Amino acid sequence: MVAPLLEVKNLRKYFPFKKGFLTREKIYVKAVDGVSFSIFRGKSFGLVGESGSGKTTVARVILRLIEPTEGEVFFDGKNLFEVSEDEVEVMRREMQIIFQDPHSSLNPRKTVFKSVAEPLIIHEKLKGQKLRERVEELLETVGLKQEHMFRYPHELSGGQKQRVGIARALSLNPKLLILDEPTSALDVSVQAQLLNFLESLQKKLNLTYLFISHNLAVIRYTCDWVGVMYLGKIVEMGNTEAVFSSPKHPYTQALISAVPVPEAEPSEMMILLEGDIPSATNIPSGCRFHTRCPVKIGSICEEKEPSPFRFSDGREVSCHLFH
Amino acid sequence: MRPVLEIHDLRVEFDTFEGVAHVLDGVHLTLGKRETLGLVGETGCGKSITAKAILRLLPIPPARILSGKILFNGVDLLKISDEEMKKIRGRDIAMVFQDPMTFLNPVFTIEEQLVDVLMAHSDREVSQKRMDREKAKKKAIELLREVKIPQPELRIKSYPYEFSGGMRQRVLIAMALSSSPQILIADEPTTALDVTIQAQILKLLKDLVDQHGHSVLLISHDLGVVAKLCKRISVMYAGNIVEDCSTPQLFRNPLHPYTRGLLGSILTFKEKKQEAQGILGTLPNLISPPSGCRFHPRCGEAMKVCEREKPPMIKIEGGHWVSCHLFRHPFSQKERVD
Amino acid sequence: MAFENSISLIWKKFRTERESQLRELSRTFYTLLHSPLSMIGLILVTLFLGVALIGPWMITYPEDIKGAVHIDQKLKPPSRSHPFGTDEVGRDIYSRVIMGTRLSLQIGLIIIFVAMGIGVPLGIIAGYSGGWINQVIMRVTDIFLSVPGLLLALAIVGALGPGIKNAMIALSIVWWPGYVRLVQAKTLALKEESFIEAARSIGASKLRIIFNHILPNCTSPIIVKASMDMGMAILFAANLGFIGVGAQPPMPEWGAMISTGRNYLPDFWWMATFPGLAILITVLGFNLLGDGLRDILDPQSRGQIR
Repeated sequence: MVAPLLEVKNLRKYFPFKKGFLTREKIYVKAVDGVSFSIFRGKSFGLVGESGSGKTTVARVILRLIEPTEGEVFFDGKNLFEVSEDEVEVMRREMQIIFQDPHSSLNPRKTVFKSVAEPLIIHEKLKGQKLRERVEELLETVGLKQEHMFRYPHELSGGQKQRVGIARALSLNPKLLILDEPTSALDVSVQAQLLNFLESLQKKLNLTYLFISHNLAVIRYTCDWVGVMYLGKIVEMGNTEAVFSSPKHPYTQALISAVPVPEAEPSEMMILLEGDIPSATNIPSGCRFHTRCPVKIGSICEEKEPSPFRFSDGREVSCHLFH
Repeated sequence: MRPVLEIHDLRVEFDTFEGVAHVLDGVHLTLGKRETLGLVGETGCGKSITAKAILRLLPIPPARILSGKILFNGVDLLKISDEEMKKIRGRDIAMVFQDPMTFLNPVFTIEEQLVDVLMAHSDREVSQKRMDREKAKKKAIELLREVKIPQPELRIKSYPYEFSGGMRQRVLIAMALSSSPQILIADEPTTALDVTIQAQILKLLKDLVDQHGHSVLLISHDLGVVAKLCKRISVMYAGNIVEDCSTPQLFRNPLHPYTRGLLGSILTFKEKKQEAQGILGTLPNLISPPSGCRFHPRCGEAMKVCEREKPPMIKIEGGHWVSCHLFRHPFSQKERVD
Repeated sequence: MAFENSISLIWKKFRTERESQLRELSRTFYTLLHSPLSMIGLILVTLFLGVALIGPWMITYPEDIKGAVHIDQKLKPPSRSHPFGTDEVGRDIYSRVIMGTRLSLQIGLIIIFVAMGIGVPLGIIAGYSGGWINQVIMRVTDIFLSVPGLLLALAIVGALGPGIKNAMIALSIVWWPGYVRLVQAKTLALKEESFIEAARSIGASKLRIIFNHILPNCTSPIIVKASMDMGMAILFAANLGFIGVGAQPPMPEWGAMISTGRNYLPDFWWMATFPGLAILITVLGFNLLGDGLRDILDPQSRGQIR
């Protein structure tokens, strides 16, 4: 049995949220409230969810850009939260992140060259000709030309900026790439190109991907395995094709039916959820989805939190309908 | 029946540091009564500028309207006075924008803002008196009820920041529809919203439009959203309308190479995964756009004439128009008058 | 031949690497050219700097700068030999005003640089560290900012004693809090940007992030503030000189000259008028230039036509 490259166990992240200067009670924003999943080498795992689902926070905790409240993350067998500061530095090189907004993920005052070269300067202390060659190589890998090297970010298109971000992330030869909404800010025609490119890159370099997105089509297109998040928990997890073609959790079903499909005669059928997404400071008791669930069974949904039920094909669903 | 909105050959320029950008290059658009039209295109194609031009909201320098007509029930909006435009803007033609937070004043309650709008638009008929405040307050609550905001009598006293994104968008829709406009222009109304909230808002819009019979111009880059709400679609590229047809025609029989490229870029969601292709090349520089057909440098089927001449709008069949030399046939059907 | 080749190679390399920066510079100038007020500001400031630089070669009576006394020439109105007239001890006002330019430039630069030297690092530290460090620094800054500048300067000079050196110390103390505020606010905003997160994720140290990422992005607002501050600093120094606690006679400082000249108004108007005009032109120039720079360097006005 091969061990997964990344294993997340019971991850929690609570942000303190003081309501007033004089109130005693401490309110927490429970951004991530018990998340567990694994990703195997060379595979793509997608975390999908709407605002408040906690998916972005999960990514940042894995990279230790934010410290966790509870839980464990194992990377290549090592517990990320128990290693020393030095070892964290080493781990940092093996995990990289591509950000959502290409327009602000590059320092506007740095040329493309300087941005891509920075990790090499910090970690490998490269200089001069050697540095230049490595940067040229990386830019070629992402399909950018020499002429782009000394441009400033505002002179590049969104797709090009995103590629610079990828080049920068690849410079240290990471094993895991976390992609936080990599195509949200891009046009449809550019999106497909970038995703195809990411797929070929993955095969070429045997990369492992953690995709984070609210766009179900993107996740379905790119990931082998998917986790659907709602208010800090994974409500359904499994093989992407299986989950999308026959979703079991009511939230997943509503989510999928809500996606407007570009087709000649779109179906009128939509599972409409009532009301808004609850605030993460005031998470509903029991099953956190019960306030909007169209197939709520009864009081058990209000009182008890469902635990994940495992199917034989690896699917996991957290819902009282399944026991 | 005469269309409620007709745009003929609209040309707009913008002064920028690098030169003059030719953002709209002869836009043709028709919106019929009770019709829902989707204006689809990618960033920079000029769809938002078209919408702003209709409402005369373009900042006149640096923008310049070179030529063209925008006929609202036969009246050219580009020729009427500012006073007359004010009567139309917001009342007969209303607009809903993308980001509801920046379009609601954060220091006033929802009630104050709705009442303001209602009272301002109430004296549209010469005979009608300006609505009084009490009446406006009652109508405002009714409006909120119509857009399905729960407990409207209570929520109306809230400030915009107390509402979620979806609720704010409902308020904007309520404001826009308060004066029973003939045309509702919605510019990316659901782009900033979560998927499940987007579904709610789209259903709301559909129900309201079905009920009241507004004509809708929906602007979006998302073909799925447009397909859900609109019966007709106009595809825009670099300041030109390249294809104009019904929704089923667009998906079953896309003609323009750009449209086909766009459809090919969509990640299929319903069926099993199919490879999506992008469109090669980049958006053209509007300051020195390509000669002839603006899409020709990226078009796999470009011919010599495409570089020389801009193709006219050609009628194909049953309300399907396309602007492409591939469809110019010696025995072609009637070409639209340019 | 080889030499020429290598020169052209170096130039080519410089060109490709700096192409974008050169384009930025030309764009800045182009935008400046299109705003008449900014152009006026630029011309006035250039005039100021020019006079300050070549001052010693422009003056006609070098000995009048400091201590010379020509009682027989006193209080002469503007004439060919004395374009700005003479003062109460017969010194040529033209020469003194010209040299006063150089003096004002020195005063302004010293104040601004000391203020930046204290204010900018404090601002970045406050903004980036957050927490109690931020609170402490900002509250101390607030205390300084709560006292009107000139009063505070007067109080400090009162304590230290009159003189141009003490005046500059006092004004530097008045000026540094403004920079802290500006830089702290900008740092706070920058901290949330994705590229700072990206820098952390690639393993950049705190120091590297501050110097390499945050500081370069602060330069625009700092430049704008500094150019407007130059004018104001010179004005404040003149104020102190006018009151009598700044530059002391016989230094050819404009404020001090107006102070003496005030007693001879209105009959011998030229003594106060010409130094006054010099202050007016200088401060106006820097203000207009600062305004113009702010319009250019403000990221909102970049590029997008949508």
